[in-house]
Amino acid sequence: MDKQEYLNAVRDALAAGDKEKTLELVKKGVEDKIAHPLEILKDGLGAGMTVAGDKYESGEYFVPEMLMCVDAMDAAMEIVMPLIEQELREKHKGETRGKVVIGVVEGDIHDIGKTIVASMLRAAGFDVIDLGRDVPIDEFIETAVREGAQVIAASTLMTPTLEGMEEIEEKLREKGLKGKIKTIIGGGATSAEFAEEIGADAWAGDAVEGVDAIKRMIEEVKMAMAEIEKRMEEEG
Amino acid sequence: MAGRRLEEYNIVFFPSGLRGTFEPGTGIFEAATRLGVDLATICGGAGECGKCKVVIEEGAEALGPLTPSEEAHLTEEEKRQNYRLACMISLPEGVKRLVIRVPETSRLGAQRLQTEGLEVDVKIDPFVRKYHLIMKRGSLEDDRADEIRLLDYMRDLYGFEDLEIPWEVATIMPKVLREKGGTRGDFNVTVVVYDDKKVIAVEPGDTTDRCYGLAVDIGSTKLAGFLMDLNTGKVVAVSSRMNPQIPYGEDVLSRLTYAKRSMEALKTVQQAVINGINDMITEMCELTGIKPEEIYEGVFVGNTAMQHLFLGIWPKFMSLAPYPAGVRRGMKAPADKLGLKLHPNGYAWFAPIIRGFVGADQVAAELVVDYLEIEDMVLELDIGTNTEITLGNKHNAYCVSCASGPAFEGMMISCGMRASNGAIERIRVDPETRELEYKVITGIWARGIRSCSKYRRTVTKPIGICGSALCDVLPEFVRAGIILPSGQFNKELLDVDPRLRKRPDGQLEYVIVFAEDTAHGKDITISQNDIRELQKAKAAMFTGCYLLMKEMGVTTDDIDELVIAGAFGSFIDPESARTMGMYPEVPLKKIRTIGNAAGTGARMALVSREARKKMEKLADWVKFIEAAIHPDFMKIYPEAMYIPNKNLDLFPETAAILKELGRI
Repeated sequence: MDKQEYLNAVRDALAAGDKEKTLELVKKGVEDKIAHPLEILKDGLGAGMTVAGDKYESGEYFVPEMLMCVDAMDAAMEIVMPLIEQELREKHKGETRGKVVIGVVEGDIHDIGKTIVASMLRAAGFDVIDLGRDVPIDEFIETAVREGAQVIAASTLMTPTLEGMEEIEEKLREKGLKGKIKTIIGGGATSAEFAEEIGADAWAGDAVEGVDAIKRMIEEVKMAMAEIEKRMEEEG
Repeated sequence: MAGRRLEEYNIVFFPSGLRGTFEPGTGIFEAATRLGVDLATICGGAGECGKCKVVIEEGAEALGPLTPSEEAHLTEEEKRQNYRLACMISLPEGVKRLVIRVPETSRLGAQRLQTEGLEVDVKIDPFVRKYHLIMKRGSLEDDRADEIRLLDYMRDLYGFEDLEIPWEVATIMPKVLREKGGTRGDFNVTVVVYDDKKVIAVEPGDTTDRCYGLAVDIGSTKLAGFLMDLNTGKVVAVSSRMNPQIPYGEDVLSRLTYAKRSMEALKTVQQAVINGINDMITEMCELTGIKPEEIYEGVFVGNTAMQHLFLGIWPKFMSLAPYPAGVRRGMKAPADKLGLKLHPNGYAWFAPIIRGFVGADQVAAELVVDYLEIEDMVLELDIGTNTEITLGNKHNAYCVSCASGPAFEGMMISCGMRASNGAIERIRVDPETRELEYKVITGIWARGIRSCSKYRRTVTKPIGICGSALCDVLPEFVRAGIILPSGQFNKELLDVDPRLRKRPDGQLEYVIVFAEDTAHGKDITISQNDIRELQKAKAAMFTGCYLLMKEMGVTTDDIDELVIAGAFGSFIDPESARTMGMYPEVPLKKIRTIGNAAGTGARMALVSREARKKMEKLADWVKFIEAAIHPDFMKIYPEAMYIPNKNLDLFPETAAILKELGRI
């Protein structure tokens, strides 16, 4: 099996949500050194998740299929991540790899959507800190600051917990972090209008939209930071 | 779990809360029809009958002057109050929003209301009882205080040992005892006793045959009140109306969100429902000649949120995980302090609840099933935006609550609507030929019982699809191969079946009724997203059932009876629900509907102390599982999104049918 054939097989197994086959292929690829773990992650697993996302968008896939892909992805990540963490750190020295803090806001425990988004973000190569469900507002912000994340992604299914999202915006403004850390909200109770009303930087109607928006925002933050650094250098 | 907020629409109808966004120039009558608002008309919107009177609550100034037809049909008083005829006005250019109230008199009342099955099978033993006394008058030899005399008689004649006569009764008692018979009085009175403990009124003469109580089902959409004779246990009058809290949030969660803003907001929401109840009392009193002072007790059954908002219990925290209720046991409140139009010393009793999302309505269903007494294993579901499920028998019982969402109520569904005139209520698709038939709720009503129209011979043109027909969509579509068991539309039909087509946004949709046959001249369709919403809803319900079965160690075969409670549940086709995998595949003959259990439970608890005791016991005894955080949830829920289920071993009968049709 040549490398491209192999990576395509990983991609297809993951996109089909076939955890067993995905794991078998990933183990074999690592052991037989068919492809570099970084390539397996990016061009195999990541590509597979993109295919699944496209299928979701076209109506072919729904929550159960996405969850199967997520399950396969998370299992495969456990094999490849330890092998490439060191490398990722060295390779990206000086440059920030996209980092996202994600969670379901305090007062809500419904987290399927958030789990899918988290896994798709990992597949897209981002560093994801998943705080889980019923997450206190301060924890979102403290974690984002401590970890140097560019994006806070908050989700809720229920209407009464919408105010937690507003609180994130308020607290970011208070601390002068608004714009330095971008925000995105999603989940059943949210809407584009609500996101605009509270001043969130983005809203996503589903996981695929969410991942696209987060990618865009991370680029924006990186560029803005680079700009600032450049100016500081110039000014000495 | 939330609709869009009211501000996002430019026409809003109250009290139904139905709303939409329309082009300027759209007629208000047309908008009402399209949204399925219950609005009376005889002439069909020609300005002739004057039946479609509406009140413009917001935006009246932007409307043009009254038309000659309106001048003729509206009284001067109505004109002052911004009344208009819906068929004569349209949405003006540049107005942000029209808020339109449809007064009770302009409604057909055509929404399905269950009034059958009012009798309750319990021993009549109410909390409030009346006792007639003819006492010996006082004299110099017998100068007992009025209070002591009355208590002595109550003890000697009726065996009461320790009755309390509270201050509010004592103040007028001396006068009542001497209402007739001059200064010495005739001492001929009726004593009203609450719970064998407390005298709540002393009335002149013999009034024992006039002793009434009120039972109320506080639905988040609808209030249903029953005036009952406490001597006989018979219902003497019924009244129902939309819950006046709807303007503060259509579903429970939005209403809680509104109320938790401030104490004032909570008060507003509380007052709305109390006013609604008082209106119903007035209506039933006028109808029967019974006076509000002759109603000594009200029993109220609703979900936890409705009861908290009624009692004015601070609702913020029950809307946030872990959703703690403020009060769990039954709660008694003085009627006059709540502002209810009952006897001023009377009481309102609110039934006990189990959890924040398993309310007294579910306890009522458990009472109707009689879980404390039965040996049979019974699975009971109350289907709604939030679905509550109980499984067990007298030895053990568990309950669960699932956030099933409003899809089956027609919300979040592109052509969804409430069950009123013009709604498609049944859909049948031939599994081989895909020939599609539907049945519409027609405008002909007789005492709440709808005349039956045969399939295809529908009188009224359809406007949209209501819950009972949405319940047919998944099973009928899967059997006919229109969708795959995964819920995805069968793309192979794209070039074969003209009903399946791609929308401009790329989403697939299936046409149920083409434009030429609909009331509004637009296609009625089911989109891929609609299918997904229905899948999520039914999967949540099945997951609830499954988690209970697992907890109890019960298989489908062990279930002796499946009971469906709630107004919605009575209208769905149990076979459709079963085929789509909403609940376990029990034989159809084991499925029974009990209708609106909240109303039944309220009536039982009003006339039976035993029933009330059982409710307290059930609320304490039935164990609760939180579905969303159950370790098995993430496995069972996605599998249950398939139709009937990914795990076909759970649905052998349906699987065999689908296999034979070549669908799996």
